[in-house]
Amino acid sequence: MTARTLQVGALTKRFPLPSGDIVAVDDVTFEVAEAEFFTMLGPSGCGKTTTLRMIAGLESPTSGSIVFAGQDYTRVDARHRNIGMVFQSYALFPHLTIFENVAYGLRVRGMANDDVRSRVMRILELLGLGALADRHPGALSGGQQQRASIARALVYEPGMLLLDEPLANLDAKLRVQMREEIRRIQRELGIMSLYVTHDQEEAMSVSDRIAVFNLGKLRQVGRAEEVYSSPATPFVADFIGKANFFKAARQGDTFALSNGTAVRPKQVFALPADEADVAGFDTVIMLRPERLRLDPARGKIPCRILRRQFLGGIIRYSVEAEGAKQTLTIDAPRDVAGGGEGSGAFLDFDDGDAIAYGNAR
Amino acid sequence: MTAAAYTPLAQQRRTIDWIPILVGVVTMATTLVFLVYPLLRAIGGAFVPNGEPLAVENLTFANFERFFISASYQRAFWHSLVVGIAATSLATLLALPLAYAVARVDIPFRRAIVALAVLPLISPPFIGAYSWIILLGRNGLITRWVAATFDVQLPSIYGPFGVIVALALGYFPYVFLIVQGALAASDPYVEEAARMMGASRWRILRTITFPAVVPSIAAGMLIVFIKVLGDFGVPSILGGEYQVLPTLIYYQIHGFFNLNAAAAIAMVNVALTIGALGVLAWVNRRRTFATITGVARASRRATSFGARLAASLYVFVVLFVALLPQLTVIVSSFVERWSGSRIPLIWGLGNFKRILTNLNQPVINSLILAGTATLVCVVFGTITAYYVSRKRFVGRWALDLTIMLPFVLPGLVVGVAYLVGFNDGWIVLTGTASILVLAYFTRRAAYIFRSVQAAVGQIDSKLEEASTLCGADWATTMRRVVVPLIVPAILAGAILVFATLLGEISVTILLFSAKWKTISIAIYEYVISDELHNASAMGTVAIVMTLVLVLGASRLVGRSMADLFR
Repeated sequence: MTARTLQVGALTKRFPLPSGDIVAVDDVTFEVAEAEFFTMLGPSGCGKTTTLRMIAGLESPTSGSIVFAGQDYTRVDARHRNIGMVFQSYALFPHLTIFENVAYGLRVRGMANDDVRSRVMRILELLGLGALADRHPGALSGGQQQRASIARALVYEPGMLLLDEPLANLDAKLRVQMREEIRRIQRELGIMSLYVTHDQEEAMSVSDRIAVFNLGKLRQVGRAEEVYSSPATPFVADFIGKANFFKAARQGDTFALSNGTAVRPKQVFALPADEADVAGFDTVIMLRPERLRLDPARGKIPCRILRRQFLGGIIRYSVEAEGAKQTLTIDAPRDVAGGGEGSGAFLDFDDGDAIAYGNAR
Repeated sequence: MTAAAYTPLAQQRRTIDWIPILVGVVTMATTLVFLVYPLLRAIGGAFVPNGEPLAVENLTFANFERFFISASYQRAFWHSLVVGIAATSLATLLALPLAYAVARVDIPFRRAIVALAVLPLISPPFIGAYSWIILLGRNGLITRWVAATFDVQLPSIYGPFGVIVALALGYFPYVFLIVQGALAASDPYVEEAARMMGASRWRILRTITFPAVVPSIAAGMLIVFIKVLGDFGVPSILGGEYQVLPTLIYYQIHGFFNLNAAAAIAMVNVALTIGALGVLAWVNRRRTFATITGVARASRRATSFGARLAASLYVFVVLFVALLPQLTVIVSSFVERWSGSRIPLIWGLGNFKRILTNLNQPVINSLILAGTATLVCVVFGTITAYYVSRKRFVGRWALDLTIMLPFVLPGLVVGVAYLVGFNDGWIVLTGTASILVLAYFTRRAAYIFRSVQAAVGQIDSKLEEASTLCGADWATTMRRVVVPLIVPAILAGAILVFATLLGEISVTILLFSAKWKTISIAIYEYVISDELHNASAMGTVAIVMTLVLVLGASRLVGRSMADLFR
C-alpha cells in the first residue's frame, strides 16, 4: 500500500486582474507525512490560506500538482476528496442542530440512520459535546461551536483534516486550551492535519513541522527548533521570534561588520531579492536577542543603551549601534552592571550563534 | 477510529457542474426575451410612424415632435412634471415632521402608528382616489354637508389639486418610513457631543440631525417621485380634463391604438425618471460619511408635555387624513343606499353579495394571475439572486441592472413595451393571460431578487464550502443548506409581490382582455361608471386580502410590516 502522504508539487495560483496578475501562491513544494501535524505559518496575504484551499479543492491551481496517497488530486472535485475542513468562522449550518450538522457528511454519503446516530454520538462524546447534540449553533459558545465544527469535519473519517485559522475568533485563554485539545484529538485519531495560522507561538506549540510562507513563496519547512535557530531567510528570522540584523560585508567565509570585526557565522543563507527590506542591507548577520551579550567594558560592537525593561524572567535592553538595521533588542538573564539608560556599552556574541544572509562572495 | 471507511475516487475527474451553467443560461435567456426584447422593441417603435414596421427607412422623430407641436402633449408633459414635483414636495412636508415626531418625541402607540402608516402603501393607490370622490366629489358627503350647513360650494376636487393631494397622501409613507428609520438609528453620541459644545436644540436639528438624514430624505423623495410619475389610477379618476403622461399613453392606446406614439411618450416619461435618479445621485455625491453606526443605544426622545402633545396631535391628524380613504371604502362597502342624508340609509351586505354571485370572476382572475406571476418571480428571482451574488461571470452587472430596471420603470411603460413587443413578431401574446403574468413578473421580479440577494449576502459562503467538503453536490448543497436559510426572505418577498399585484392597475389597464379582468380593473370600471358602492365592496376585499397577506409576511420574517417597505 502506498504511504498515505501528501505531496504538493510546484503549486502556483495566479489571480488575473486588469492591472496584472497577482501571484498568490508561487511555486510551492512540500510533503506531509502520514499522521503529521503540519502548520502553514505566515502573515495575512502570504498564500498559506490559498494553498490550503487548493488542497481542499475550493480553489483550482493555475499549475502544479497535489498528490495524496499516490492518487492525483489536482483536478478532483472538492466533494470527492474526502477531506475534513474547519473554518475560522466555524461555518456551522445555523438551521440545523449540532447533531444534524455533524451528521451532514454521513447523510450525504447515504449512511443508514442507526450508523449515523452511533458515529455522530461517538465523535460528539470525544469532543465533549454529547449533551449539546440537540442545540442549534446559535445557542453555543464560540469554543463549543469550534468543537462542533471539528466534529463535523472528522466524523466521516477523512483522509486529512484542514484547519484554517480555527482559533482566531476565540479569546486568548480559550485559544491555548483549544489548541491543546486539537493536538490531543489529532494524536488520538492519527489523522494527517494541515493547520493554517499567523500566530507563531500557536504554530510552535502544536506542530510537528512548520512551513513559513511570505509573499506567496514557501520560505522554509522544518521543526520549530530548526526554524527558530536556523531561519533560512531574514523574513523567517524576523517573523518567528525577534531578530537583530547587522550590516556586514562578505570576505570569503568570514563576514566583516561595519566596524571591521570579522565574524565566522555558523550558517550562511542566500538573501532572497524580495526580502532585502526585511534585512535592511545586501549582506547581514542575524542574532537572536538572547544570544547577544551586553558588556560595559568590551565586546565586538560599541553601542548605547536606550531603554531597560524588566519583564520578569528577563531584562530587555533596547540599544542603538552603528551598522544595525534598527534599534536592537537584547534579552539578558540579569541586570548588566553599568547598564543604565543612556550609558554606553559593548555588544558581544559567539560566532556560532550568528547566521549570515548574503549573495555574491 | 480506523483510517478511512470511505475511499476517495481519485479517478473521478472534476466534472463540469452543469446545473449552475444551465441556470445561468436560462436566467440570461429569460431576461433577454421578457425584459430586454420588449423594451428594445418599444424604443425602436418610438422612432417609427404608427402602423409602419421597424426598418431603417422608416425611422423618424415624428412621435417625439408632437411634444413640440401638439398642445395636449405639451400640457401632459408639464402636468406630469408639476404633479410630480408638487406631490413629492407635499408628501415630504407631511412626512418629515411625522418621522421626527415618531422617532424623536416620546409619543404613545409608536409601533401602532408605524404599522398604520404602511396601510396607504398596501391598498391599491387608486382606491384613495375614488374615496375622495365619495367624500369631496360633486355629490360627495363633505361637499353636500358643507353646502347644506354653510351654503358654501367647495371647489371641485377634479383636476390638479385633487390629483396632487391624493398622490401625496398615497405615497408619503415611503419618505416617512425611510427617514423615521434613519432618525431612530442615528448615533446619539454625535448629538450629545454637539450639546456638550453648547449648541441649542434647534441648532443641533439644523446642523447635525438634518444633514445626516438628507440622503434618506432624498431616497424617499425619489421613490415617491417615481411612483407619482408612473401613477395612472389617480390622475385617470381625479384628473378629469387634466392629463398627465400616463393618461396620455392610455388614451393613445385605447383611443387610437397608436403604439408608436405611446412608446414615444413612455420614453419621455422614463427620461423624467432618469433625471430624478440623476438628481438623487447628485444630492448624495458628497455625502458618503457613515451616518449610522452600530450603536446599540436608542436616540434621545423629547419628553416634555408640550412636545408630546404637539407631536401626538400632528401624528393623529395626518394619519386620520391619510387613512380616511381606506376607512371610507370600508364603510361605504357596507352601505346599500346613501343619498341625500348625512348617515347611510340602508346598511347591509348587498354589495358583497353582488360581488360573490355575479362578479366573483375578477377576484378569481386576480388570484390566478397574481399567484402564477408570484410563482414565476420566486423561481426566477431566487435563482438569479443566488447566481448574481455567488458566481463571478462576465456581464454580471448587466444582469443585475436589467433586473432592477423595471423597479424604476413606471408600470405603464412596461405595459407599452409588452404591447409593442408581443403584439406581432416572434412571440404574440396580446390578449392572453400569459402577457399579464409575464408583465407582472417583469415588474415584480426585482422584489424577490433584492430580498433574496440580501439574504444570500448574509450567508457565509464558507457554509457552502463546508457542505461541498462534506461530500455534497451542488444540488444537495442548495437543497439542504442554502434554500432553508433563504426561505424566509423568499416568502416575505413572495407575499409582498402577491399582495401588491392584487391591486395592480397601471400594467393591467393596458394588457387585460375581457376574459382576464382583474379586481383592479373591475373597481376601475365601477368607478368610471359611477357605481361607487360596488367599487367599495370590491376595494374592501382587496384591502383586507392584501392586509392579511402583508401581516402574514411580517410575522413570517419576524420583521415589522414597515420594514418590508424600507
